[in-house]
Amino acid sequence: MRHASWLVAIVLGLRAASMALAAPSTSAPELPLLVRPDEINMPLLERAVAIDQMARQTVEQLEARPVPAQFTAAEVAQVGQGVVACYFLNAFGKQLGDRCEAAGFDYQLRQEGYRKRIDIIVDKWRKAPGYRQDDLHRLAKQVHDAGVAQLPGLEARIQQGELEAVERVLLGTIAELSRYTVWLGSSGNPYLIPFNNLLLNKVEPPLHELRIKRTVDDLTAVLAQATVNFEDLPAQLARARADVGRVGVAPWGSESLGGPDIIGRVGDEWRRVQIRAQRMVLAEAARRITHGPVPLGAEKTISALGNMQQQLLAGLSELVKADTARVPAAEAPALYERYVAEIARLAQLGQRDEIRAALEPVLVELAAKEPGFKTEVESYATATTELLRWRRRVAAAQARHRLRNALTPAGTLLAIGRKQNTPGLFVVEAGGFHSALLDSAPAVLGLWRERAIGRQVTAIGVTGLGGGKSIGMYQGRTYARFTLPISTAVDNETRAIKQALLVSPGRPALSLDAALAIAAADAGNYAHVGGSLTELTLEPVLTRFLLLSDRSVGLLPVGPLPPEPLLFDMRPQVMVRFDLAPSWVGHECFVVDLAP
Amino acid sequence: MSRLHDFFMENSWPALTIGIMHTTFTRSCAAVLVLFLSLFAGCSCSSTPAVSGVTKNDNPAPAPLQDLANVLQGAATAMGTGNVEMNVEGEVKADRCFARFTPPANGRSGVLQLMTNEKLNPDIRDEHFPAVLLWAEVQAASLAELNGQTITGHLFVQRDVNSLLYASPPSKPVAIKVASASALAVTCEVRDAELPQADGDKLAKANGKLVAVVK
Repeated sequence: MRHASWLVAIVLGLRAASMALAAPSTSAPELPLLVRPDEINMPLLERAVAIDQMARQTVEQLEARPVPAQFTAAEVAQVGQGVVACYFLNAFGKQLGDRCEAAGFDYQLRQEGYRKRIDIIVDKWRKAPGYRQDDLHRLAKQVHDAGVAQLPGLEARIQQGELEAVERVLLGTIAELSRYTVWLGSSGNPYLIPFNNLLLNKVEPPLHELRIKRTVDDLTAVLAQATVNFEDLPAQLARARADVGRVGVAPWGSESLGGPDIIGRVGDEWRRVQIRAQRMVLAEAARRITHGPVPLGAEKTISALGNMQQQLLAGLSELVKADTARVPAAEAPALYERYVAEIARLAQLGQRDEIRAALEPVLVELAAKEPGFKTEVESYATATTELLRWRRRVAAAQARHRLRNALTPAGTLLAIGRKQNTPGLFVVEAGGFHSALLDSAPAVLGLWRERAIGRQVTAIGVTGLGGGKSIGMYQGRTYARFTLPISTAVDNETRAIKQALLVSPGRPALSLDAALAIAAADAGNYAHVGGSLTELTLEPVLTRFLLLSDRSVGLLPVGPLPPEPLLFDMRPQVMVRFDLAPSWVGHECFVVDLAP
Repeated sequence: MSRLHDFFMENSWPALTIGIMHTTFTRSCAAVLVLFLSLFAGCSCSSTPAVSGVTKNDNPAPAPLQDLANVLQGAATAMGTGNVEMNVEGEVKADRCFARFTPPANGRSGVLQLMTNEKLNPDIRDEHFPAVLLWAEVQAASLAELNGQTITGHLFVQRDVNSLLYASPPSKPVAIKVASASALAVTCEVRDAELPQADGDKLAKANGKLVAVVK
């Protein structure tokens, strides 16, 4: 009995070291899923990580042992260590789940796996010489009787509101009992009943309610921190438009900016609002805790973001018009060139077709202010339009051809993630799916390590982050991450495209169409990047986006938010990061192999 | 007739013929005129390669006669809609081809384009297949200056609406012989131009001729 208490104390005292940047991957499947690093989650996670390690090691040691030559107290202790670890892993996992952390669901699934493996060992070891069920009943009864003697005191403490303290005592008692009842099958259940009854009827419901309330309060704070007024940016743009139309510049923050520079600033803010909107929607869904109707707040946010985008496109168009009305004809060509470049950069953030449709007509009006320049712009378009169209057609066909043998990350997830008598993240129901933890992260990742690493994958919607570091946009619960090497081949094609578009220092692209292609090449933004899969990492959807920095680039293009099944319980939902070793690059105008 | 036929098909001036052969009337008129001009120009009727790979006129006729020939060819082609006769892993024939010439200006190169689409940036539903674009950066101030020159540029060929797409990569232009060029019509030839297949793994060789009406 003392030994058992000591074991429970050990397990409860376990803490893992720093959890910073941890995430379970094919190379380290046992690491924990990302959690919001607050004062409740981190202690829970540190305990869960350490207990998980103990449970895993214990089970592995048990599996490595042959059936004992003689069944002794040592066998009971060794198996008991695994059982107690599982019990607490489940308890802390549940609490993390109540915090809307997928990591909690993962630990509950992990302990289920350990328990199944322990049950197999128990079945074998029961046959060992010296195994006597009577002894185990006697030991269980001792713990039971001692625990029952404590129950009146615990009831009193419940009345006094000491719920967490009582929970600890009851969990400890049940864990100790489990060391023996694991051998007894259903005949051991009666020993557990009084403690489970008290725990499940009088302790856990109010505690659960308190914990959920705290979680909702915390998520409400997250929501408040993320909340933006979707009318602010269009209003700021409208004010700037009036000034730009009058004097050519407008105050923007602490600066005084011309129209083209204002477009750059609008892009920065638009991207920030996009990220905030994603956080707002997911915080709303998380606050609901389980499944249910789409929260009204989330619907409003999605709608407000859409309205804002329409207002911004109209506002940007009005800005260019106002500047066009103001600018003297002689200055129109230089202003046009600046607008084309800035609008092309803005369109790198997303909504490219919409931005082009909204702003190309007003750029034509600006060019027309100076008749000679208008002719130059028209000649430029005549000389380059067909070349661009064919280049894009060819590059798209080349990428499609390569995609036959190299699926996108989302396509790869569809191919490898289905649960079909194997660990997986989804089952296809009525034609749809969303990836959630149906099996533990280590189980899923262990399978993928065997079956998926080395596959050819094609990332889409790639944004260059500088220094070759790149990210493929979030789509279908996946995104990609990789570093592009310095490539002479890419440089040559980029140079050739610029030359073909008649661009040289001091002579920029004169059509938005051409400027878009050049801006993408200069930024390292590619329609496709293909390569072999080096690592898969699981990330929780809620936590990943709730923690997403306002300055994040590339994961979420501006535009409609990525569709999420908000009717479902979002807590166990996960996404997959694909790390690639790139072997080819697909710009919108060329596809080129990277040197090996 | 056979010698005349050989002349049309193999002489270094055959560019004259393709666009001309659209109507019986223009074919017979042009044949006589071409024969006349070629005799005056001292041009041999023996077979010579259509693409020589040099960057200057291969068999220049005296300038006035050459100009007249180009004008006549242009006039004849302009009455039709141009055509394409090529082979890129199979026959590529089109009964329409249009040229656009953008002269150099404001420090930017000029561009010569021959294409099977009459309009720029057509909707895919309005596009005719096989579709071809020949695009070249040029320094010439006029189309006439390009006459007889071999230039480098890019060739795009799509034989079918959904497949068989070939193109020269941006950094690997192909040689293009401007067999004739006037304000009315342009004829270009390519020989053994390497075109990787975009929707397949083949490296095709493009051979043939584009006779285009200047837009």
